[in-house]
Amino acid sequence: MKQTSVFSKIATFWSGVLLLFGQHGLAQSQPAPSTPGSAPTLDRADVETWLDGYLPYALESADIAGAIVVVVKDGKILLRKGYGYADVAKREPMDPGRTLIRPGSISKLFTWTAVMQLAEQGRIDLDADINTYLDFKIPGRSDGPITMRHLMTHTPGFEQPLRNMFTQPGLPPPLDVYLKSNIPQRIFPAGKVPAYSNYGTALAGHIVALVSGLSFDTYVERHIFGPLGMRNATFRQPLPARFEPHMAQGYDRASGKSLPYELAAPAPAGSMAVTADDLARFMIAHLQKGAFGPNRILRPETADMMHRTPYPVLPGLQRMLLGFYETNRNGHRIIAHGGDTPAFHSDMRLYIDDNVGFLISMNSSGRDYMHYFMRGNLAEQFADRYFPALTPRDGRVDAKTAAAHAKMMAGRYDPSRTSWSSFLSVSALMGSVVVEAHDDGTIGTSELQKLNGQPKRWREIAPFVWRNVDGKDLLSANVKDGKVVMFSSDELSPAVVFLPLPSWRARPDLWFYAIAASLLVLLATAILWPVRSFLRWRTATALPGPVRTARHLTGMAALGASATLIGWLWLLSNLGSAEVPLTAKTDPILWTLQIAGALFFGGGLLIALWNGWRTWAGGGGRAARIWTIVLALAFLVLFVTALAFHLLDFSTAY
Amino acid sequence: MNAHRLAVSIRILIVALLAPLLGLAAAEPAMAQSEAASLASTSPTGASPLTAADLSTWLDGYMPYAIEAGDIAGAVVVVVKDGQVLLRRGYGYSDVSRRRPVDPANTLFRTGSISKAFTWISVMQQVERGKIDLDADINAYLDFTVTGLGGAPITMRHLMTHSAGFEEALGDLFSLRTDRIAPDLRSYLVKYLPRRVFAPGTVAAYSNYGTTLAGYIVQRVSGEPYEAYVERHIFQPLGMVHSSFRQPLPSRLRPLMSQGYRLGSGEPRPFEMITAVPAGAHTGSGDDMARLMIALLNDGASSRGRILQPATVRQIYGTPHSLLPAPVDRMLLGLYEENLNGHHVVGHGGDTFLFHSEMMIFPDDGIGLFMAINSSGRDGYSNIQKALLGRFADRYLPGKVPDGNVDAAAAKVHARMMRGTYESSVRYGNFFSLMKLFSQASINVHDDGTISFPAFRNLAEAPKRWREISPFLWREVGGEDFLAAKVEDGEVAMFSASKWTGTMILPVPWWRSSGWLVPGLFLALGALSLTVLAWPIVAIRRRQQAVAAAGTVRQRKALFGVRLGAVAVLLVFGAFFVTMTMMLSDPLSISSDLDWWIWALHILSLIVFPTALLLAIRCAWLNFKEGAPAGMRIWSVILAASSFIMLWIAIAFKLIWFSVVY
Repeated sequence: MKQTSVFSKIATFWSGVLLLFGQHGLAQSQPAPSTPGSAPTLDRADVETWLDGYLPYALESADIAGAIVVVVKDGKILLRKGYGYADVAKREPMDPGRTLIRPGSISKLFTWTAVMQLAEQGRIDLDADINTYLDFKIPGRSDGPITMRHLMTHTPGFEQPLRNMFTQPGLPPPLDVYLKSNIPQRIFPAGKVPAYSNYGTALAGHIVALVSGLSFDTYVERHIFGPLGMRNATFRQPLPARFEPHMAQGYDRASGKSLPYELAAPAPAGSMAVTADDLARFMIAHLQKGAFGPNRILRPETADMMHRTPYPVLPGLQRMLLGFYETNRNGHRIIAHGGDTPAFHSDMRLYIDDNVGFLISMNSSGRDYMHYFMRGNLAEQFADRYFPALTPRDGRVDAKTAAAHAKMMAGRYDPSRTSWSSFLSVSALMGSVVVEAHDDGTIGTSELQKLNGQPKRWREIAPFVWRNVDGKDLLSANVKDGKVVMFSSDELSPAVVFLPLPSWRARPDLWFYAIAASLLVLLATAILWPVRSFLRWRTATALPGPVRTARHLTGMAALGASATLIGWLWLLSNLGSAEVPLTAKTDPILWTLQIAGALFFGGGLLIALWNGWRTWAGGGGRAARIWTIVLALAFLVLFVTALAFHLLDFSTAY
Repeated sequence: MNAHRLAVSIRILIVALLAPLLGLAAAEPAMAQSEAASLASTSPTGASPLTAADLSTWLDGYMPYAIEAGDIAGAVVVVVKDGQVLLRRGYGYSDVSRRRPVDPANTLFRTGSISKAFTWISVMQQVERGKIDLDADINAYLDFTVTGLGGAPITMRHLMTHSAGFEEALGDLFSLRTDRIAPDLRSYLVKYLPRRVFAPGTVAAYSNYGTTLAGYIVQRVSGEPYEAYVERHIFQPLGMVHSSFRQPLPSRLRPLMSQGYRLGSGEPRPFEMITAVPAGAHTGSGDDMARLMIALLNDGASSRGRILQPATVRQIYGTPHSLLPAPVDRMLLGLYEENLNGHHVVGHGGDTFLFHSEMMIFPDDGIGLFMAINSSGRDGYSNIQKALLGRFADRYLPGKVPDGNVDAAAAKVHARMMRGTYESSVRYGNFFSLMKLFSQASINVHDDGTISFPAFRNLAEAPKRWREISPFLWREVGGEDFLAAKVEDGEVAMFSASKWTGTMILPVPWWRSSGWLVPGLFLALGALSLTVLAWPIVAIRRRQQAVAAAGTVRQRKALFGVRLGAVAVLLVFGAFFVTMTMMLSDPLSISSDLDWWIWALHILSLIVFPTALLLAIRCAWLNFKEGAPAGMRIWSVILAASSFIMLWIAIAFKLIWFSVVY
């Protein structure tokens, strides 16, 4: 069993939850100075040899079992190839024509394509309130309704709900049931802040079903899979029996055990299973503006609208389109989508002006998040190899301004795709992003890392626009009245921005020390409680009655509070595992911890105050008196923490 | 924390610290040596033609990702074929801050142990001239005496196959100071003559000392200083103008030297001085290594000159030292044998603390490959030169890998026989052997009859699984490596695996087995620590409550002694452990500069460990004789046992020792 600490879980929160259902990876690579003079031609022989050099080592060193790569060009498959194993134990190779993979969030593109089909028939208005189409109500906000365009650009402003997203081992509830019983908080005004939302996409899928009168699964089968001849593709869960023999196993690490088939509740956001060959058909159709052979899934102008309607949030950075997002490079327009499930990791990029598409899908997470860094590097190297450009000649900002701006940027940030209103908000204590100002005027970003695991460094090239020192990607900030409102980088900008932490949370280290110190104090009290009673009993030096009662109660409260805190830490570090899945199965534990928190944090504080009063009033040495104050403070810290981070909300929504 | 897990984590720590150093000193079983295993590799369906264009494209796929993911600053790759350079490429930077790219013709790399190839060629040149007999006692060529274990003679052949039986010699191996480089090989060899721990010819235990001794013999019989000899008789005939054994580098070469890095994203480190010159001091360019490979592939001659006679080259390639059967790689005369896809491969690897390289030639195919990197790189992603080799062979030189089947019952019996605790044949001559206590490892037997050994790992650092294909020969599951064991009288005498050439894995005798000593050590440390920690607490409590201590005056005095002894034992053991960890993490610190400190520790341990045991026994004896309370009696016995274990470890792992030669 894998060992997870709170901290590694926080890292998981970052790379995992943020990417859970997909975010494109764009780990920038250091341009190797050895690139030969003329650009190689993108032909089958070159790209196959190149990938033969790249992938076997990359997969194996990352402990990833297998991968499938597809390159399409000019309406045809140029190369399709499997590397490694679809099933390690059975030594079954990855077969691009037969092996099914889970493309995760790439599934969303089918939902968005369906939405655009209905839009082109005039049955969905991208700018109408989605409540027009729904059979239940998304709560209103004074700053306006949510539209389909907001859903497509991940700007409905939903909080990130995790509960019930993966329901393993139970089957997920029907889509409408899931949507109605897991309505997330609206934490941002619609259309303002990108915050990647699986819920939003699932909502769109549900609207497709309501508007078309078909189930979502049937709609996609009839109107997308059918015209494209995608016979080996499905959104249905559990996986229909006829696909089972060819379904790739999923792994955390290739050297470990395989994971069960992942069941996703917001199905239109990521439940697909498909062969690489069939995905290639979809890629070709989009590259040909909707046409595939004699059939068509979108009219050219609809496809163009989908591919070319950007939703700018931060100047200069990659943007969300209608469902796709940009990963432009070297002056070539590239639209893309990534997809991540707990085991499968995929990335699709379409060079829409060059009629070239690239897809990779892997069936393991591997170690050190290399599935993420590697596919980003692979996509960049592919672009730099076959569509090269000179290194951009950047402007400069004078040193003084750069230093001032760097200082302004320095601090801690939260990703917009986060949980703020549930107990998960406590993860932000350790998971926040740190921007550091360096002496040379560059800034460093703790969580935006290079392939080698080192933080990226950025040099300012125009006011509040920075270029990766070792790459081509940009970082840009929105500043108002001398304060950073948000920033993001090309790696994440279409769907996630970073927001400054509110001041009361800006020093997670202080929270951390205060909580740790309180835990120590309470543990010491809890442990000394029986020891001291025993010693008193042996030396027959009983305390006066009321003081004794206060001591006993304090001891019990300290024990209970320590246990509750440790319980929370255990829950947070194991959340998502088999013991504490993100489903209703965990609810009893959540309820227990919340009730225990009220009893022992809140009640404990009262008892500690009473004990203090007793001790100060009724004798007790100086040490004992001071200890009562320390103890009361410890309870206070835990009580305030619990209130601030929603540990006492008496709710199981998250 | 459970003792086993702590032991494992310490082991991992030490492994992490040591990996770079021991590269030069060959393989340590604990080190995470990753190889071109092939969990994720597709089996090649047919050979791709080895052309410059295909290779260049393939390397464009492999190299940029590999060096960047590994946080390696720069690399050079050279491939020769049919007497010509097929490809030479630099990747990344020879100087990161100046953005100076690696130039295969002119950028110089340290080749580490590949230096040994030059020494062995020199030796064979002297054999051709009749000045060295491979099977004569080396004392015939020396001006000081070196005899094997039990007085048996050591021969040049033993030195060439790393089977002279030497203990490891680490002292002063690396330095940053020119004055640390022994002015002559003789003074280094005399000062650091290691103990002989195996009978000559019986066990391979990779030895830098042995190679240095051979280099010194070349110097003696030729009458030329070693560095000058190699220049005249190898570099000049082959036109290797960018090669040198001299340290520091001659001024004409200095501007061409690549920076060396631990991490490519970090700061460059100074030029490493290597005292065992013939074992690891070579510096050269990729082009120069191509010249050497072309000569070795062409019966000893390049278009410019000859370094060996054809028969001699065949003798080197065709004389394996078969401690274990092929296809497990064996030592040839100084070079390694490798078996890749049924192709015969001859070569050597080399690691300094910063530079890592690999040279492999396929004599039957007329192909040679050299690769070097100038950074140690990021843990777990830096063994790219070894990984490249396997993939290169899979792509361009596919073939049949031996396979077979052993019936399930026999496989199970054999797997069970393999069970046990093992350690590497490379043994430390001083308290560094304490590391052995933590790096010993066991063969794991799995339900399906396969076995694994923690030190034999794949690229992703997961232990390889091995399936028996013929009696006592195992093949890597899903891979192309082999593991073989030598069994004598129903007992496993030694085993090793592909790419661990020159090193054997040996069963650990019971008296130094971590199986009981590691739990014992942790129990002892725990008991002693508790005693020490309880001391002030009990004292304060007593003073507070004005209670007199229990027991007679004699018992109290004895208890005082035991506590003092516990403090001293913990301090001395801790000092050894910290010293070992720090020295092994920075090989530059393994120098005679620290001899005074090590002497002090050895003298202290000679006093502290036995005295603590005596005091503990006396206290226990008094407690029993004078009828102390049961609790005290039991605790005093535990303390005596703890002190005994500590003394045992101190003796078995050379904390009590009378030498600073290591």
